[in-house]
Amino acid sequence: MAEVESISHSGMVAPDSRSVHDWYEDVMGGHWAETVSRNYEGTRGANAHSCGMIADYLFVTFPRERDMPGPQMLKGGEESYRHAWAVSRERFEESLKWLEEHGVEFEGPVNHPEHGPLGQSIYFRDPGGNFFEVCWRRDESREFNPVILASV
Amino acid sequence: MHLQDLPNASDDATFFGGHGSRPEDWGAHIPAERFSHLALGVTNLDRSEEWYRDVIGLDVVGRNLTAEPLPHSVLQMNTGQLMILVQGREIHIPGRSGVHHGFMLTPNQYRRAHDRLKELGYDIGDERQQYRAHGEYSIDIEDPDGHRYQLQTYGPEANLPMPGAGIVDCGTPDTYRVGDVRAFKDGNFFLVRHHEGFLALSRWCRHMNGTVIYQKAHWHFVCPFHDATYDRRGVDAPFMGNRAQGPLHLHPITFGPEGHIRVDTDTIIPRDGYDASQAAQPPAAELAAAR
Repeated sequence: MAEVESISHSGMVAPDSRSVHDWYEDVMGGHWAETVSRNYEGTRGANAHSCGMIADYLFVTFPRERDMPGPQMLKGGEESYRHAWAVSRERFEESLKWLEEHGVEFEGPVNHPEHGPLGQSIYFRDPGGNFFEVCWRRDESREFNPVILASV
Repeated sequence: MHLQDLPNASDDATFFGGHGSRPEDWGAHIPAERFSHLALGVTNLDRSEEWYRDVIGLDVVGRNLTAEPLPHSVLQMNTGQLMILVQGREIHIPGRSGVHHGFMLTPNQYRRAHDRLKELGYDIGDERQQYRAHGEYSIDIEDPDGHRYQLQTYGPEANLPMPGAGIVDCGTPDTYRVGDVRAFKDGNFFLVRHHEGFLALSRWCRHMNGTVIYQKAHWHFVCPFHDATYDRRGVDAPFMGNRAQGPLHLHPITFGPEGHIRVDTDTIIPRDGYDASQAAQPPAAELAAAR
């Protein structure tokens, strides 16, 4: 057993604009909490920054573009960071189609080694330039410990 | 606002999963059904793998298990989420821009991490401690390349009233006029004088454990975390969207032989609403003097 349950959130750099918010909601299926998140119940304490959720992941955005990773990082990862979400294997193709329909240019699908935890991935960027990945997990049939949600 | 360095012992998974997500909000969405992994650039793979294993406590799954073209290490958390450390020639650390990542721990994992980090010589701190609610804990830490992290947990005490400060002497009744609200920070309560008598209102917000403040200009109490609002009787103000979930708790009030108001902050009186019998009347002589 690890000594950590999950990675629950990230602070990312992204313009705090309506178009970015719309992209997270319309393309990634996320939802925006509050522009100034004093009403966001996910954090018990105060948070003065813009918060959103994509699936079970919270992200806080900071609008400072000068710290954005450089354009040479097509897939990120090797020089900075990249966030990856999973869909079930059956819905992977549907997800690619969804992204294409919403004008998202992605690289892939890339096949991962058969002895690893991932199946296939695609790579793209959000409107703020953050590196995103969508994959299906080869180990998705294993029993994941659920993140227990006290609200349900 | 937490009042202790460590959470109470518990192996329970974290409150709200750490971020408040609800399945109905994200259940079947494409292209993101759940978070899978974070890929991160590091300059020395051996050093970083060791750090994430020994300092943070991730399980090492193996090397070069994905399609990443550069050497990489896959590590795992208990929910099945992964971290993929990718060896890069140089990495881009976004400085003090707010970019960071948060690991969620159980209270017991947090306690062990706290001890482990102290033993390893880390200066344990939380630069946003003043914004934390009671029962919320966080440690700031940087990996060997300068990637910033929080280790977070919510202790079981997050759902319990804050500990008291024993009996607090609030002075004599004649120093309070009807309508006065006086804050006692040590005991985390407000003493309010009404026509009917005194109320000692706990500052613990009934919504999510923030500490309410008094807004004199508006004659009400408000929680700065989520705007829950209460009137001067501590009753949740009746407007749409108020997040208060029931009135503020009371502390019992007695009057000492010298006439001083004494508030027992170790005792909580829950209530569903307000009625005049909750207000403590000072002894008749003091009452007459106050008039």
